[in-house]
Amino acid sequence: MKKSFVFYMIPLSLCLFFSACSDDNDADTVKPVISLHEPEDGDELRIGSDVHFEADFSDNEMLGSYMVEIHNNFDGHDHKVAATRAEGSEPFFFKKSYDLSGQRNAHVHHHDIVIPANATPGNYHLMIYCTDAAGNQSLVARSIVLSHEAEHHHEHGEEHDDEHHDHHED
Amino acid sequence: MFMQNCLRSLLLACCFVVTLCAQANDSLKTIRLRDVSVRSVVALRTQPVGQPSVRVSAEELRLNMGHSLMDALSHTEGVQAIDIGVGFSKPMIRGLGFQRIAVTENGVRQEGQQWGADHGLEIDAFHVDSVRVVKGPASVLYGSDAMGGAIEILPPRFPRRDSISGEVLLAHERVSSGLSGSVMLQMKRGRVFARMRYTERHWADYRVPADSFTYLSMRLPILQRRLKNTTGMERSANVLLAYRHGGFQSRVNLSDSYQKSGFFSGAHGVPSVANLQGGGSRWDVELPYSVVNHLKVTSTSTWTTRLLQTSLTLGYQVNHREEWSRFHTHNLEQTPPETDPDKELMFHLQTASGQLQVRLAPSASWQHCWGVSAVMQHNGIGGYGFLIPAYRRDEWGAFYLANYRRSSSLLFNASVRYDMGHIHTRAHGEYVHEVNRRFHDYSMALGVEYMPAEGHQLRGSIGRAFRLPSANELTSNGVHHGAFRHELGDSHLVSEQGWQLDLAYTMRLAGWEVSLSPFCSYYPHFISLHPTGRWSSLPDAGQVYQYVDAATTLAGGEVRVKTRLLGRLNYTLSGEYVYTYDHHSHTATPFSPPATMRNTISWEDSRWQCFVECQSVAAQRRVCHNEDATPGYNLFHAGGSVDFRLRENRLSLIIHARNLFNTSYLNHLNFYRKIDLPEAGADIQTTIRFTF
Repeated sequence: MKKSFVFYMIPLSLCLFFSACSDDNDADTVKPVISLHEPEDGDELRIGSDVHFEADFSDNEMLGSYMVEIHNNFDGHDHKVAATRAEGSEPFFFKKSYDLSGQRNAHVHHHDIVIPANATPGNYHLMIYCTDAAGNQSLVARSIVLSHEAEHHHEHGEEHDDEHHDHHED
Repeated sequence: MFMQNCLRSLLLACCFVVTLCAQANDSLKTIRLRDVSVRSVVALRTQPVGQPSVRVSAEELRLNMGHSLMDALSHTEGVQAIDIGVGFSKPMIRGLGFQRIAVTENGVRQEGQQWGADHGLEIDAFHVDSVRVVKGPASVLYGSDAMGGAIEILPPRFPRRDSISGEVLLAHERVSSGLSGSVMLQMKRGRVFARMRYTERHWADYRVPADSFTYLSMRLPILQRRLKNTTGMERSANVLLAYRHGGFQSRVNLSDSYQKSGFFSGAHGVPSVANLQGGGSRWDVELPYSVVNHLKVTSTSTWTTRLLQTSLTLGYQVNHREEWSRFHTHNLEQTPPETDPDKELMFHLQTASGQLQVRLAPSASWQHCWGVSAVMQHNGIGGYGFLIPAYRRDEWGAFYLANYRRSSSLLFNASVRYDMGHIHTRAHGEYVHEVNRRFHDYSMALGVEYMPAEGHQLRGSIGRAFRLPSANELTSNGVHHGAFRHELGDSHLVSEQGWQLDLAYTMRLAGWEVSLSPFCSYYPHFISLHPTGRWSSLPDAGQVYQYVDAATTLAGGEVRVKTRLLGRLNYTLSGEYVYTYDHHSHTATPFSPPATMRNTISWEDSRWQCFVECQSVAAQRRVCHNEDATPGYNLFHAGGSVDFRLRENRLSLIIHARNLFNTSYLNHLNFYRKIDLPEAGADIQTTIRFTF
């Protein structure tokens, strides 16, 4: 009788601890981390000017590269789509990758992305992908709006110097 | 099996026993009986001895019937289901799934788009009587695509007596407000047996215990806790005609299964807050959605004589699949087609197959089986999108199997098979080239079954299996929505090959039933997707994933203990574990099943049956690149059934409550794990079944 009781208790107690047990991996399966500072979600970007891009990338082992993609989100059934496509305008599409190999942390700040003057205004998706040396990938997405009326992003000058002071090194 | 043989022998013996002539005399006399001859047809086993397999009965399937057949089968240890959202599942046995598992019905392999990630099996779950699951390589009998195992849907038995019977079934499922109905009629008269079934299922948007999910690092809403556009319907019809006369038996089976179901807006294309909004009934299937129709005709004819049994199986299937999604492309030169502008993908797969088997039993100890088989397949494509090209695929195979019965407690098996395959894919656009490849490979198995003492059984087998690379592995070049990434094929891939060693020990003594079945397998060639680190030039895609040949090891096992607690109360413990390792990337393989344990207390009577179950799933931290770890969880289920007998008829009421405490949990084996979508909440399934 005693033996039976102990026997039955084993699987019942295993039940409770079971969902906590697991094994870990041998290789690097930790994704790199992307902290996107600029542009922010919902930002309006001015057509005809460049985009202030600023982000921090970090990985537990070694970074690989990052890629920026901007494409339209016109078929989002959103009735707030800006003015119908003007004659001669083209939906903006941007896709470019940048190398980050050899680094564990990287701070990136550039104005590489230029929105041409004939870009169609409206809703767009901004996606930042980042891979590490092992092939792990992470992704950050933001909704942005391209318009002619957007404010010019702050000029290079005092404001930018302030931002540089805020960066932290890992 | 032994009992069935005895029964058959006895029945046939009765036909030959001459009526005894009674001597009307009350004095003791010697009565001499005339000679009695007993003839019986020895049941010829085609199954290789020692092969790890489990038989799932119709009752078990009905009690565990979840959303689909695979859902019910995943209750069996060693069998898992890879879910696509809620409601659709693909089979997985011991960590291997997709094209590595053959699902067969009436001996014919079910051919749909097994590689695809957006759908489950096109089989009417109510139509299935009983199933045999082969947990090891079944290549010897089914050729390529059965490397990990096979799920054999067994045909119904030919009734012995003339009868007319049928069944009416109604089922309701709370989590999807789903309603199913199925009607079956069968008739046996003389040498003819006919059975017909019609099933229809409708379900609305699924309920989940979550208010939001993640997509592209944004949290998007789940309004009213129902996954928008996961509604759908299914309609199946099945007709079976069988004829039996003496040693000849023939069956013809015709079935058609039609399914239309919506894709959750958050898992297909680019979702936005707008297309996740309400508007439209939760019963309306809107874009994007998929439509599939599977038509199947099979025929099996068997000629049995004293020593020889010959059987011929022929099959023809058409799997027509369409995926509709509002025209979207980031390729500015592509314009919507004039007809069907929203038809994104179309696959029209036709498969013709045939198998001839000859079984010989020269003595009670030896059984031989020879077979040849051929499968011819053609896939046509259409739609504005592209995933796999049109292709032609042929397979021819020949096998030999021998079962040797050394004694009543020791049996051996040896089997070998040789296959030739040919895949010819058509070029598409400028990025996908024509591929024309020929393959040949062999598979084999050696098995043993040993019963050292009464109540103990030991089984072991070692097998080699292979799998031809499939069209998507050779030629893919596009974004696979169901898997959220750009997949690239490699036209130079070789067949997968591997070895598996199985052991199984079963003990049945003194009210206890214990079975242990460990296994380990090593595949020097195994095809899987690996991240390349190169960025895709296609929009909405991150890095390119390529199909790569990487050596892989799998090991694990199952355990099952059943004992009587007191009276009619039983306790069952079942557990399964699979360890996977990819030698190329030094990680686990994708969709590595987490260790699972089930503790069940059940009560059984001639009329009543009920159970309470605790399903414990361990956390899965062994993942491949870009797969998320999943925390562990405990789920509680309960259910029962009661039978009412009305003369010869029977009314059954089955109730199955799952996830009683509405636990919010993530399933590692779900394609939608990537978007952090929790599984269905508390669900109650009610089934009323009337058999007459």
